[in-house]
Amino acid sequence: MELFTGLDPLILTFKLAAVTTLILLIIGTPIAWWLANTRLRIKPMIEAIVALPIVLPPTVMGFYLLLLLSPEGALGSMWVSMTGSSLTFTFTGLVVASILYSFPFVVQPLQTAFESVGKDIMEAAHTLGASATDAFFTVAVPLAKRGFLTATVLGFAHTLGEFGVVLMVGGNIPGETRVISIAIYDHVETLEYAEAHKLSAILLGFAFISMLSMYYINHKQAKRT
Amino acid sequence: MKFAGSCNIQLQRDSFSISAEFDIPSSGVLGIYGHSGSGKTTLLRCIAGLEKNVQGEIIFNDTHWLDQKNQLPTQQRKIGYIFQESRLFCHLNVEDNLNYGARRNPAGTSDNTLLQRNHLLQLLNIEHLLNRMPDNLSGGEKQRVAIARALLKNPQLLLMDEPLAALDNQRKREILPFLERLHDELNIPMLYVSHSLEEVSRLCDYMLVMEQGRIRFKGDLHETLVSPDSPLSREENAAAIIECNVLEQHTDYQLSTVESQHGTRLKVQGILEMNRHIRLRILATDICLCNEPPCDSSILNVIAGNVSCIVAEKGAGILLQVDASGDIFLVRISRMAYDTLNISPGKAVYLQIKTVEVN
Repeated sequence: MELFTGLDPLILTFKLAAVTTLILLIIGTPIAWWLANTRLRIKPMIEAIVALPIVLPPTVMGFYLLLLLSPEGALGSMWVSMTGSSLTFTFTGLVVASILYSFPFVVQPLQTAFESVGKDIMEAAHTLGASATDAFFTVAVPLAKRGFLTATVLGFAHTLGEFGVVLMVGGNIPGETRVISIAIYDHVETLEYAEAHKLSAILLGFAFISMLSMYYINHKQAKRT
Repeated sequence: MKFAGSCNIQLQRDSFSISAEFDIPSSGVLGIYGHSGSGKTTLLRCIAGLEKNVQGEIIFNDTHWLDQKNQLPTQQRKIGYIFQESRLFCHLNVEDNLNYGARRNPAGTSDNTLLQRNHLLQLLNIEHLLNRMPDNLSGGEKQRVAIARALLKNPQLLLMDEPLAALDNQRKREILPFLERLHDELNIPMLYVSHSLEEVSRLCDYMLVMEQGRIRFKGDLHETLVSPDSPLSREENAAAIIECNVLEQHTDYQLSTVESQHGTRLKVQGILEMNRHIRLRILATDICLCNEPPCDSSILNVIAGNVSCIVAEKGAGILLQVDASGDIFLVRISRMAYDTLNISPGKAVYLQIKTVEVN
């Protein structure tokens, strides 16, 4: 029982990272495709907005998100009127915050990968009878698969390590918003170093293994092509 | 000449514009010739639907590809497109590359008797490559796969954009015979964009000559090569094409005799397959002109003809058109020789042909 409660934040964190990464891949892919292909003048503007979370202190992001998501905020009030529940200090709120926080880590690798696919090969697909959607799924996506791998790993791993934003938006509710980094901070505060060690080591191990496998696979593919 | 389609298009870009009106023949190769920047590739891309904001009208086999209201997207035009670079899908092996177009365009209509798959793979010599990935192919192999891929789509019009330009001379020599065989065996029209006079002379039946986005000359190949109005007759390496059939083989001399459709007989190097149809390309600078039939000359090919007109005068040289019982030759002589030999249009002369290029 003790072991189980100790690992509770771990399961929550992985659930959050998985849901966030999945949603990010779904909404990030069309945005990355658009960024890779558009010639509109607002492109640098959109790119700057997408990149913001990389440089912004998480507490700053968390603060604005708190204002946005709180029942009095623009998005939060809408959510309350739609569902009856609040976005702040809930798992759903955490997912929304994480999506924004990890956005560039998914969109940027995808954009780079799509840019390297190039217009030429898409034109070839069209001349062979493939519609835009058909060519996207049968040519662009397979050619950009390294980008998808990088985006998935980075999006997932970056969400795992989230702290500042979660603290501001989610707080510290066991089973709901108490993710691994918050739990570690709690354990250290209360001098439970053994518990802190256990969770930290798991996170460190996971982060290293995921990075290693990503670079390993990318390296192998780079050698093959 | 029968036509399968017509094209009348305009395209406006910041730095240049295209305006072209021509008919697409129902069979044979229409060459689109021009120097780089003349707009020939852009014209081909307009026909394929790869350029945006094209104005005008393209009708092919009674289908409107472009009119005032609609622009049919590329994937719905019944074209095969061969790019300068092969543009193979490097995540698919050769076989899946070939199937990509075939699968999306099942050969449902029986009126289109394109080459059988196996025959095509044999013709292009790519049967042994089916399991290879494109990255492991040579430049020439890639381009042959790209040609097969475009043809297996079962197109009604084949568009080729300098398919040999990215290859070195050896690879060019490797692919050209394949293209010539396609020319002989395919019954769909082809548009062939090139800036190589040699390539268009070998492959094309009709020509468009482009300059600065406009068509400067259009006509059949022979007309385009020798007509005084055509820019091609003014090029440095101006040459005439004589269509011939192999008549006789001289094994002991390693020569063959060929005969043109107008009865002119010429000796060419090598033992050529009997009755084979060949195109001779004879450069204007490879012919000497005499007033009397030369005797005791080492030059084997001497034919009689009449000077029909002066094509161009440039510097010390004069380019003449000579009609030898229907076969038209181009001859470049010096202005001094022109005066000394008393040449004028209509005069009977003898041509000594130094070299004959067999295509």
